This record gives sequence, C-alpha cells and structure tokens, in this order.
Amino acid sequence: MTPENPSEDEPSARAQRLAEFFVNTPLLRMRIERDDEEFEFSRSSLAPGRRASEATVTPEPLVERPVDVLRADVVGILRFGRHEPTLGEEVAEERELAAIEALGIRTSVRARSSGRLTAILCQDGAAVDYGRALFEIERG
Amino acid sequence: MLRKVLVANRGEIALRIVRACRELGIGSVAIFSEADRDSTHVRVADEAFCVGPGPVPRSYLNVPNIISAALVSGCDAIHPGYGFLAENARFAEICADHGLKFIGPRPEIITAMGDKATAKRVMAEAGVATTPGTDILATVEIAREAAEKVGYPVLLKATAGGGGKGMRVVERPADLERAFLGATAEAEASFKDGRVYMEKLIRDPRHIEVQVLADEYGEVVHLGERDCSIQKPSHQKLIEEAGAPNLSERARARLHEMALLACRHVGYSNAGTLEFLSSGDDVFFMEMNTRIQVEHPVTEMVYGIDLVKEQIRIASGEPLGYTQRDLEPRGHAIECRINAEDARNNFAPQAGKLGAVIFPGGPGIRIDTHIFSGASVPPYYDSMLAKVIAFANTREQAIARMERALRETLVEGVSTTTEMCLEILGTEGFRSGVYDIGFLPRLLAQRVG
Repeated sequence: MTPENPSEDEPSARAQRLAEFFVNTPLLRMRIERDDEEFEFSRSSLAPGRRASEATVTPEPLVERPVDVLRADVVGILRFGRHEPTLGEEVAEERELAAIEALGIRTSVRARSSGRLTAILCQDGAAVDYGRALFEIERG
Repeated sequence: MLRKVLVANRGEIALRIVRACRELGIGSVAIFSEADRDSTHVRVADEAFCVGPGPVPRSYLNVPNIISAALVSGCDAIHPGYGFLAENARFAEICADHGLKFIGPRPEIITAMGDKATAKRVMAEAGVATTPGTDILATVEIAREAAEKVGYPVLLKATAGGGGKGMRVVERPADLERAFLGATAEAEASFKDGRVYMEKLIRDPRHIEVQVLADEYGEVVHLGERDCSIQKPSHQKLIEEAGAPNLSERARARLHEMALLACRHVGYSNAGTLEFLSSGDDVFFMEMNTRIQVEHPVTEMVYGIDLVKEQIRIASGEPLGYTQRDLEPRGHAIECRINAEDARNNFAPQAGKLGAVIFPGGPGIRIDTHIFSGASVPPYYDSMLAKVIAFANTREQAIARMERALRETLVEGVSTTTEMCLEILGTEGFRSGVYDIGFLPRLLAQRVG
C-alpha cells in the first residue's frame, strides 16, 4: 500500500503522491507514520456510483488527539451490554461499554470522556486479567 | 487426580509447582504482578493471569483476583506455595467456598498452628515436648510472675510472629517491663496483634525441623530432619542440610517420633514441617509450618520423593501408598540460598536488572531458580534468587560439591549471598557439623571486630 520511495521526495510532493495513492483505494481514512513524518487523509464518504479515484481528497494537517486506553482492573469475564460497542462510534462520557463479571460482582467499564471508539481489543465472554487493554477512545 | 491447578505464588516456588503439575499431566495456571510479567513461571505455565500491580497487597495477596483467575480458567485447585497466602486459613476457606481444593491442610489446622501459643498448647496436649513457658501474657505484672516461675533468662515472643518480630530476650527482672512493652508494640505494628507469650530461653540451640507427609485417611510418615541452624541475625535461614550432622540417635528418634505424634493428634493432612529447638539430647517443639518449605529440596534429594507432587496427589484424595518402613534416607544434601542481598551491609536487599547469570551443573547439583540473564529483580518481593542444592553420598562430599558449584555461580548486577555461603562452608565450625543458630551472627561479629 506504500508508494515507491516517498522518502526521496520533498514533503509536499510526498503528500501529493500519497493523496493520489489514497484516492485510488476504497479507504475512508488512511494514516501513515514513518520516521518523523505523519500523514493522515480522510474523506466523509464515496458518492453513490462514484469511483474511489473520483473522490475529492485533501490532505489534512494532523491533529494529535489524546487517546484513552480503558483497561481491566479486575480479573473476570468480560460482557458487552445490550448496546454492543461498534468501532468508530461516538461515545459519551460515562457510557458503559462493557462489564467484567467476577465472583458474582459486576464491574462496569465506562468511557472516561466522550470521543470516538477507535479500537475494541476484547471479545464478549472472554476472560480478562488485570491491566488488559479493552478499548481505545480518541477524545473528542 | 486434580485437572488444573492455579499457582498462587511467584519466583522459584511457582516454577517448581508448575513443573510438578506438568510431570503429573495436570494443567497449570500462573498468576503474576505487572512487575513479574516477564518471569519464568509466567512463560512456562499453560496459562497466566495478571492479578495486579507490583506491590504484594495488590497482587499476590489480592484474593478476589486470584480466586477469579482460578474460576475463569477452570481450575479445580490452588497451590499456595510458601509465604503470601500459604498459611492464611481464611484464604483456604474461601477456596473451599468456591469449590476449589486448597492444596494444604484443613483451615482449622492452619488456624491452630498459625497461632504459636495455641500450637504449643495443642502440642503439649499431644505429649510433644515444648519449651517451658506460658500462654498469652495479658499484663506486665502477669509476665513478671511467669518469668519467676519459668526462670531467667526468658524469651518474649509474639503469638502471631515470625522473622524475629515482636521477640525480646530478657536476662534479668529489671529488663522485663521495657522488653514486654517493646515486644507488644512491635508485634502490634507488625502483625496487628500485640499479644505475646513467654518461653524459657534455650541458649545456643540448634534449629532442627522434621518433614512430614500425611494423607486424608490418617496415614502419616516423616521424611527425616533438616538442620537449619545457619541463620542470619534476622533468624532467616541461609544454609540447610539433610540430615542433621552430629545429632545423637536418641535425639533424632525423639524428633521423628514427636513429629508423627503431633500430626496424628491434630489429624494433619498434606505436607508440613515441625520446627524444634535442640540442645544436647533435649528437643523442644517450636512451631509448625503448614505448607511446603523453601528448603524442601534437601529432603527430596535424600529420600528420592517429590514433595510437591505428593502434595498434589494427597489433595487429589489419593492415599500415600507407602509407610514409614518403605522410607530410607540415602546420602547427604545441602542447600545454599542465593539471595539478592549485600552480606557486608546487614544483608540489605538488592533490586535491579541482572547482567549475566550462569548457574552450575554437573553431578549431584540441582538449581531451583526463576532468574536468567537480563531478568529484573523487582523491589517488592523476597530477595531469594536461587537455591543451589548439592547431593552426595557423604556430608564431606556434599560440602566439596557445593563449594565447587558456588564457585561456578555467576549472578551479575546485584550483590548476592554466594560469597557469604562459601565463607561459611569453609569454616571449621561448619565442616565439623558442630554449630548452632548463633553461628552466623558470631561469625559476622568477629568480622566487624
């Protein structure tokens, strides 16, 4: 997925080449980290009937958003609630994403702040141990 | 037979138990703290669960997380090893409440033997010789009257004690009040139990202990004695051997007989150790440890029995399958503890990242350790890194073998007790086998002098 020899170009030329590469993919978001450089490209959606290569793409300057990693603080079985969390969804602060059942006690796993759920690192019904990373939330 | 055992411990004993499980075809589940994530027992066990951060109360004493790890991983038993929860009767009860077999004696036996004053009373009822002394002393006045009866010098000891905490020697009446108040305050601070009792002080005794195994059907055997008299000034053992050198046959027979008597009296089951003070032909019960001991390998070497496997077998409900007549010791074994301690600085514990680690091998050498080159020694735990065990046909040969092995031992990055052990092995006192619990403190005092 990486264009040939991007490091031989100037940064702006590299961004342009990466953008051209991106528009020919079906991706909605692409992020590249290499050495000291970071590029992120995104588009809201592909218009119906429109080819990916026809989408309008502009490189966005990267904005570092803090990421909360929610970890298990007890050993037990993880259960998703009635509203199973989905990747990319916006979650509100204090939203319960899951619970850990241990010795008949249910311990909630809640978002510490509102934001976008960028990683789900656990499965419903799985055993989890202390410190296990469960979710990542990019703070909004 | 049990199917899967959670090992509620760390370090070399956790690895030792995982190995026993594997040889028995039983599944093993390790627990670990965040500081022990890269530890050997975690890597070797079938499964592993992190139960908390480095500090002991939040990880290796975190009962809810430990029990939960056992349940979610489908264990049917918990082996507590030594230290941590090994002599915690409440933990044994909680295991039972959750349908988990605690690999050790019944909770009520742990309770009775864990309280030193109660243990002495129970042993005296059984006809086991105990040091002349008292029950709990409520006030300094009662202590004063008791000391007159027992006869000075006396020893004040914390009933919940261990490791020399809450212990005071009182040579004369004028020192009693201060010692009583000091012992109760120290016991309260250390164990949240300030109660103390009194014993006649036996001067320069040997610390000799007897290993026992008992099944759940009343069969009890002993596996001989160990001499654990080489102790640091803090009363922690450094070198142990099986059997005890220069012990009269009369004293040896009494020790073995009393150990069996005691176990039968309390209905003991699983592995245990009765500790005695010995002076001449006199032997006095001191305390019982209701668990596997650090120094168990020396007994295993001379009896050819795997004590940890026997613990698991007994907990599985199997009968011992042998009697005392079937057990015969062979040869002599010595164990040296390699601790991360600065022996020239009052055995101050060391922590940090290890450099190269090389352990000895060759005939008659066994190494029980969890460390490896580049491993971390966290500051939170006991400083023991390894046990070097030498076995040979005679004591002389075992000493020579141990000296050879210790000289091959390399642990870079922290100070260790290796040189201290070598120095002790080279003394005339140790080589002659005539030593007592004051041996190492006297050797250290001579150095300073």
